[in-house]
Amino acid sequence: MKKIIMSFMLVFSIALLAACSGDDNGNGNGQVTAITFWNIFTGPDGQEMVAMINDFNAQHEGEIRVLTQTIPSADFYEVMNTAVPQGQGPDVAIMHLDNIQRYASLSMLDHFDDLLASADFDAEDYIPAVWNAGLYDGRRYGIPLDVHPIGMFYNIDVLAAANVEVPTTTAELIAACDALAAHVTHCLPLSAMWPSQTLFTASLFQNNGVDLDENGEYPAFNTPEGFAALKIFNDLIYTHGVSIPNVGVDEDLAFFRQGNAAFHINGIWMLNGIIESGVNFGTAPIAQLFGDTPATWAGSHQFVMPRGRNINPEKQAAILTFIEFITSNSLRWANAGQIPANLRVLESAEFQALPYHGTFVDVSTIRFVNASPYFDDAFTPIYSRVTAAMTSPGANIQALLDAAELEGIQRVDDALGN
Amino acid sequence: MALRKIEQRKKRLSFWILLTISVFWVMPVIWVISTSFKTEMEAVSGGLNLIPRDFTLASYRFIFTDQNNNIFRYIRNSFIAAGSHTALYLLVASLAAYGYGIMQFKGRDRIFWLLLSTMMIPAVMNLIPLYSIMIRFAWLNRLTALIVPGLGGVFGIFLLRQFNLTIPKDLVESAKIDGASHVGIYWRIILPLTKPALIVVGLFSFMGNWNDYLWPLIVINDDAVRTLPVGLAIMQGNYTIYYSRLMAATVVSIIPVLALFMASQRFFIKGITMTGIKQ
Amino acid sequence: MRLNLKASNVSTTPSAIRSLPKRLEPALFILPHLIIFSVFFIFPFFYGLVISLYDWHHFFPEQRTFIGLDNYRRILFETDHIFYEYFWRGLRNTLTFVVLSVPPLVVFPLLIASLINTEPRGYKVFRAVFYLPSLFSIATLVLIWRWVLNTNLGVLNLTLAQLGIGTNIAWLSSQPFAWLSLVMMTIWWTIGGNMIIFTAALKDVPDMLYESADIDGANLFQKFFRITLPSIRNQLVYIFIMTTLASFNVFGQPQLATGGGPQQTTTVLMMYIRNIAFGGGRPRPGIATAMAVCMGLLMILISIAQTRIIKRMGD
Repeated sequence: MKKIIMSFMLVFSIALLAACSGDDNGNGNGQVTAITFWNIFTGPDGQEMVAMINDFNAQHEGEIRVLTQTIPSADFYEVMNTAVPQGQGPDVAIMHLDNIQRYASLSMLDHFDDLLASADFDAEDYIPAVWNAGLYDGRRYGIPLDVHPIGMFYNIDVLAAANVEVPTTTAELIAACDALAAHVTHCLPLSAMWPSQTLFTASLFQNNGVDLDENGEYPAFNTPEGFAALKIFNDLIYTHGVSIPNVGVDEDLAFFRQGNAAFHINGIWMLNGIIESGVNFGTAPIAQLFGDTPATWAGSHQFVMPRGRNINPEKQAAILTFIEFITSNSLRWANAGQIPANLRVLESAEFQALPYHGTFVDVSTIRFVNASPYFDDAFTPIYSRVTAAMTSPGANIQALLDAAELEGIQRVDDALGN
Repeated sequence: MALRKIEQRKKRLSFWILLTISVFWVMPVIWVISTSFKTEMEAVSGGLNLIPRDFTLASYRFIFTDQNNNIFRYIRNSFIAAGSHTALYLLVASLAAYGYGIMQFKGRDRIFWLLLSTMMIPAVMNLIPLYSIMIRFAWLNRLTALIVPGLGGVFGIFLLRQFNLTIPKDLVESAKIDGASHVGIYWRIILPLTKPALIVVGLFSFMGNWNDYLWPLIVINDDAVRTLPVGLAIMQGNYTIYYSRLMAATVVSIIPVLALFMASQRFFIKGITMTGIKQ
Repeated sequence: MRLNLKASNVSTTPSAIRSLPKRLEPALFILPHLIIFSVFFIFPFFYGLVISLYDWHHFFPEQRTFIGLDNYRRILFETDHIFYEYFWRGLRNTLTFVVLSVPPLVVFPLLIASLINTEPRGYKVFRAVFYLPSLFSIATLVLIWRWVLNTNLGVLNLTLAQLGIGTNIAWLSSQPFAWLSLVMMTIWWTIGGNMIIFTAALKDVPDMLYESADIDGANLFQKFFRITLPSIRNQLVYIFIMTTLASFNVFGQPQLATGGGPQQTTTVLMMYIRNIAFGGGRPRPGIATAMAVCMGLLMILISIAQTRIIKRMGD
């Protein structure tokens, strides 16, 4: 009995200690406009974002105070679903480009049109596809922060030892892996799970396929192009042995970080994780690695305003000031492992001078998915089939495409009320 | 003599079989602990060594200092939720168990068996409507949502009532003759007598609440009030490539329940045994 | 079941004519629970039936429309509807898990309990070791096992490779390994409780029975099936039913360990219900509630059937 009480007290005091050391972000005083900002940056980029916000708060001491909360992206949309309708959402938040139109169509976002009339955001400054993804029904719901493409990391020492050039096409990749076999354990380990869907989407575009139909409603990937786009991953693993089978999430990354892999494909957001490993590496685009048409998958983070906050003019002005501050400082953001969406920053000498960003991707090849409100319903069913194609040697590619398409159609049917 | 020898042999055989199986049973935990003391690079090096080559506390240091890591906040929230739930449930359940076990009133047993029969209703049927109620009460993202609804649970009352039924009637009767009120009898006689049962019920409601995953996942979205199981699952997403840190977090998450268990093992065993003889 | 047969007959005692508050005293004791119970257990049960008849919206009452049994029709009969697909696939996956997990979850603890029941050296330590994982939360469980089962870095595959048995088994992302892994981690996690119940039950079997069987020359198996099993029948029934119901409710293991994959083959019904009711896209609580009601009714039916069958087998 005594022992129980003792241990209870012990653990309780630990908890209390934790409680005391907990956060204490008090609100600012009366005149300060406080805005709440929800972001989804949990990695090193999150720490950079917090640093930028601290700088912003310091610069606007006594006027504006940004209170931020980080929500892992896996939960973010669910949190929005419950918080926003109850008026408990943030004043401003970060959203992925392919979700903006859906949330706008569900009346969960406010548009920026009234605000932007007085601000200097210029469509000309942005990669057009990024800028347009924030539009729904003729109104602007998203302001781009960054673009995050996938690309290739390669181990300089390993390639040098085998005297192999960085491959740019499928054939070159296969040849490179053959040549590297004697020099390194793994050539290009491919995770069958995340981020395999981004590789497939890139492959789809490189093979001239499309994700959704022209109306942006139903799936349109079940075509000979889509077939080729999916089949190549099965071939690369089981015919050409570019990767061992059954690589799990981030195991590919682990191999590369250990120096046991020649190549690694991942998003630019992994840059700092790879620098930290100490591997001597370079970066290269993957624009034609899976097909002839140059294309690179990329996502984009954008600022949105969730609906339902009694927004007053001061607050709106503060939000705009904040967004302008962050986007104009996007070079700093680039150092956290992203690519600025702003063309002026992209073309600036400082950005061009960054060691890894410039060679990682050719910005002109960047392609985005169709950011329609139905993208999630129509396209995401293919994701689990990509995994299937990569984990079973004799996968029936056509059957996988058929199944994904059917599920996509049925989901869109339901979403459209058909 | 011969019988005893057979008995001895049986024991020895059991011992070795059990030892073999328990090696498999503790292995995952040992492996986790071992990984948590390795460097990140060694953790993913593919070695099978249980003793780290470069023993390091770096992962623990990271867990304790990383400002993005909220594990201690999750632990605190879990303590508040599970602790309050347990305290309140013990009160509510012991009162009810006194009513159904000690007091005499019309329809007493009928009400009780009716209550008990509702345990047949699977929790899944209540999930979404209960969420709607949470919205109505504005309890979303509040620990209240984790503390209160479960207080309606019947099983603890059942256990306590069974225990109450074993208390000699004379004890209660003579107290009544001495002029004691029901509240007095409940507080001064029944509660002290049923202490072992209360501890058992308390332990199980604490553990149940502490480990609950689905319900907090649905009603808590605010990181400030998140509890440990959901928080830990989220950390898994944040630290994906840092296996050593992940395992250090796992070890930290195990410590509170482990302490509780070590201190009260016999009550755990008694409690489970009690549930098993239900029928 | 032990019924309290002593009739509670208050009215014949003189206390009945005492003051009214005295007669209301029981209410003081049982009402706190009864109120909470009604609000959070009884009301939701009926409320759920109502929700399942609506195209429901969590937050905006004006967006709720009564559609009768449409939700049920969709999930049960409308073969080309997405929710029909999800419901039946989820149910199939849940049933697969039940069928795969219940037998080992009953038999394995019984085996260990029989060994512990011989009380060998250190049996209390063994008992603690087998019970230990039951203390962990699902998140802890999955963190541990994902690391153990990691395809290229996990201790299991590394050991298998060392023994030359197999390489790179994708425990969590290919079948049949995904099911195997889920069952394996569930056994590891949950046998403790069943084991302790069995141990207590076995202890209560009178030694006399075994002794007289020994005299009759019965072998180990005969003793087990003729004496042990019948003697612990009640606990066996209880464990069998509770384990089945628990397996029906499986959620955390596939949610966190396999993510429902590969290709939604381990996406159990509970995962679909939660996704459809609260998920990222367009929450459809009405559909999800209809699914939950069907699942709940099925669980009730199965537990009744189990009780009946086992009772009949015993007679």
